[in-house]
Amino acid sequence: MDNLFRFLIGIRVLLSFVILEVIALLLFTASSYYQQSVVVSKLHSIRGSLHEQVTHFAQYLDLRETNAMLAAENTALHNELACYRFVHSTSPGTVTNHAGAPLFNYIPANITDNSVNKQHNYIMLDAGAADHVAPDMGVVTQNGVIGIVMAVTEHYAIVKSLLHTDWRCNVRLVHAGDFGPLQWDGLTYNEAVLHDIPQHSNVQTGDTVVTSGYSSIFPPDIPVGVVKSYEIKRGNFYEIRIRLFADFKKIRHVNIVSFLYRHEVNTLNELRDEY
Amino acid sequence: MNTNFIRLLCYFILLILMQDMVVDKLPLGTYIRPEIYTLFILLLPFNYPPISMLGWAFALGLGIDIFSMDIIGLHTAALLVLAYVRPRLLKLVSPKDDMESIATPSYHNLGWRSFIIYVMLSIAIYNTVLFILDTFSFHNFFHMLLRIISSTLATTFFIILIQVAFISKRR
Repeated sequence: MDNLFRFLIGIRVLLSFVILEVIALLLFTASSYYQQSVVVSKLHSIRGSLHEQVTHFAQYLDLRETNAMLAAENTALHNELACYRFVHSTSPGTVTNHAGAPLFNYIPANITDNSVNKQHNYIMLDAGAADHVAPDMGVVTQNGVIGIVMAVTEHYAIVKSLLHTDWRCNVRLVHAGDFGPLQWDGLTYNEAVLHDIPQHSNVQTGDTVVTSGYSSIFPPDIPVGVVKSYEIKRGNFYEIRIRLFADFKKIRHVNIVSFLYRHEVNTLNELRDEY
Repeated sequence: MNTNFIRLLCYFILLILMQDMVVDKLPLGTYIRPEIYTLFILLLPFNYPPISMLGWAFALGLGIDIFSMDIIGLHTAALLVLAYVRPRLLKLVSPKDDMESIATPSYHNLGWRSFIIYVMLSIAIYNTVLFILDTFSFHNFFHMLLRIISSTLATTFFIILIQVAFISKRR
């Protein structure tokens, strides 16, 4: 018996190793059972909350990168939203005739060529006759009037820019309520001049200028710019400098305004001229 | 003895957390897994009682199994083998008189060559047991061999890095 004890003490390390190893291997082979035990699942939930903290911390480390990515995405979405908002706020449904039928249709287009550094600037668009674009249609963005279609080919249109010293667009002062032609004076690309506002009109700096709607080219109430300064010229009329909302250097996407009853209006105008 | 136990317990918890929260999150691919927790067994003092060491190995293995959400018993079995062969490996690489020392194995008292051999051999044995149990077949033998070698090299590198950076400075 003594010998047996001595022997066991002699191999006690090996013995404990074998016992523990057998336990480990038993756990290993019956693992799926222990995985589901309460203790293990409790430990897993503790581990889960620890991991959450670590992930929170790790997220701080790449905040800068995430920020840059989100900012880029934000810009893209902003641009997209601006387009939708414009289409929505001035959608055909909002400008209707007395019977509630839409008066205007919009054709989206991208600018393929543009200039702001000449006195007679033109814009090329990637929409043409195939997209039902026709001469004398208005071109707008959410920031205002861009120009008027001069000529079209099958897939392209050439537009006379607002920055064209020979072209006039009829606009209205929102607070004063007076109408007049807006014309570019050829000085800077973000300012134009409103003529023919009578002296008795209540002109104020900061007043908004919108399209008048007195034409079959532009829908009414598209914002164009704000009054920057004004002075009396040629006796009885104000000459008002307007700061334009549209940044002609940056515009990329525009909408072409199609007046749905333009043929009827043209026919009437021709009849009038005949009489 | 008691303060020593608490100190070891702190290392124990720290190593499990480090493995799970930091090392396992490194983007190292499927072939390389540095097992820094093996440090705990490898760097116990020369004269540490073998049975206590087996106890630690068992607990450490269970901790890793549970924390890395692996099969329970897998790391436990492998770590027990490591703890069992450790005294024999130390005998192999170190002069006899070191075995009575309370110091821990390091490149100071073993020398660079012996220390690296000690770490690498230990980890190779550990990884062999671990991956054989994990695969439980010799079907993809070459595949398994590649994992054993790459993980052994990575673990050895990390352990030596940690020892040089943190542990030896304190002494």
